[in-house]
Amino acid sequence: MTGNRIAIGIAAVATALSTPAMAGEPLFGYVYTTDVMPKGKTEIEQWVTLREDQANGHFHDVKLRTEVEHGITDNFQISGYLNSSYISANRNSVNGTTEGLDIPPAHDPARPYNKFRFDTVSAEMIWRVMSPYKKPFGLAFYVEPEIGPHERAIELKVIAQKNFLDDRLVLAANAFVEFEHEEQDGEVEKATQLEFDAGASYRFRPNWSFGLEYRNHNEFVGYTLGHGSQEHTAHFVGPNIHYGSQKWFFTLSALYQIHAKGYNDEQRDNIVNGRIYGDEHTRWDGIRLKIGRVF
Amino acid sequence: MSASRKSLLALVPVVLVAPPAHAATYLTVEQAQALMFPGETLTPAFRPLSNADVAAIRKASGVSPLSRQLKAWRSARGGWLIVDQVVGKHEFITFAVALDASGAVRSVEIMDYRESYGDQVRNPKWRAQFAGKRNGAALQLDKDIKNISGATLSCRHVIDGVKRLLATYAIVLAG
Repeated sequence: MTGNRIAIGIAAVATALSTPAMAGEPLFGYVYTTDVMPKGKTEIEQWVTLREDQANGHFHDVKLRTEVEHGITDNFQISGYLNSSYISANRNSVNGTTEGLDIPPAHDPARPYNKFRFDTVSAEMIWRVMSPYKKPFGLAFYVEPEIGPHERAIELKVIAQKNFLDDRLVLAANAFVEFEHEEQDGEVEKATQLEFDAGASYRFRPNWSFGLEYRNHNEFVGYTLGHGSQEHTAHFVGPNIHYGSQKWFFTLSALYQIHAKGYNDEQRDNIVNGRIYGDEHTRWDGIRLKIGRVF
Repeated sequence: MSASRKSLLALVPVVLVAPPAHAATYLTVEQAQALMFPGETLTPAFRPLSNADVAAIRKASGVSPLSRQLKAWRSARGGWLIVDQVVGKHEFITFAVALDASGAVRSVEIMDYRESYGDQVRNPKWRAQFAGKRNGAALQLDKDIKNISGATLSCRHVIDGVKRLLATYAIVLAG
């Protein structure tokens, strides 16, 4: 699938969703808030995430996620996802070969790689235990199991939210751990990801919010979080803009890798100008658009 | 700029030109006047709020006015109708409060509501909880005024709005 075909497809979805009057919500591209769908309400979201640029050549990883969310109670929401991706890479690695992030190990590193693939299906459950509209701050717990041809994972997350200025200024923070098992071309990788995310979003005029978000991503070998098994830490920051109204919304965010540190020689070898590439990250990681329709 | 990035950015105008939300107007000012003060003549008594008024209202109610222009009408029998707005999830919620000559709430009406959910604040039984409330009443969510699950933000903001207008009446109009 070419980039233009993807763009046309998304534009068609956006146009279809734009027809009626529009409100829904993710204020951020990556950071979650404690807002959940009210009981009986459903929302459909389409995500497009572009992970862009590695050490050399070109690298484009377009991730697509189609999501349906439904409120079981006013404080418990379930969701289902379909995840796929399109990767176009050529001579992207530190040493100028075509290999690394989501490129199968069996691929000939001397040749370009262009492939669309189905990744996983996943489910998500969010249980809000404190609403920021009734308590001094909001608190929610999140579980996301994920399974696909090459990957199995489970993500556990804590979400906190504090609102100010008549709820127009929203501060949110997340901490999550994800245990993943990947198997591709006979190679098995077991890893644990630990991430801390934070963001601030201000509704500067009706319907429109602008914000900043930050991610600190840490990866560990195996299923332990000890410093001895840590592979790297990476920091990302960037702006976001959100439009929400009665029936639809969109959020656009762009996170840029500002610094990374490797904890073993293999990881350090993939760091250029303070940013880590290889199997791990991209320079823009990533540029994310979410479009949603509330029913 | 790469082709993929151009493709993604090309989507931005598509969403930016999407049509705006259609306002759900349930009551015009004239309809609110007729509903809340049937058969009575109302006289406009608009007035600006001074910095001192705003500070006093904020101190008394804990909520800052969103507008420096107070939209109030005086009834022939001494009552007041005040139309104002509070912050909704995405847009402003326009509401009206009718006060009797002693400054107690007669009724509350939601005039504009444009959110995807939470419009249960239009429920007459919920709004009836405000009847008889005066400046100084605590008006706390889930204590003095019951919350509506799934409409918490709207409930809290309308409660704060009524509390603010009761303070506004006491500070600006009652004198």
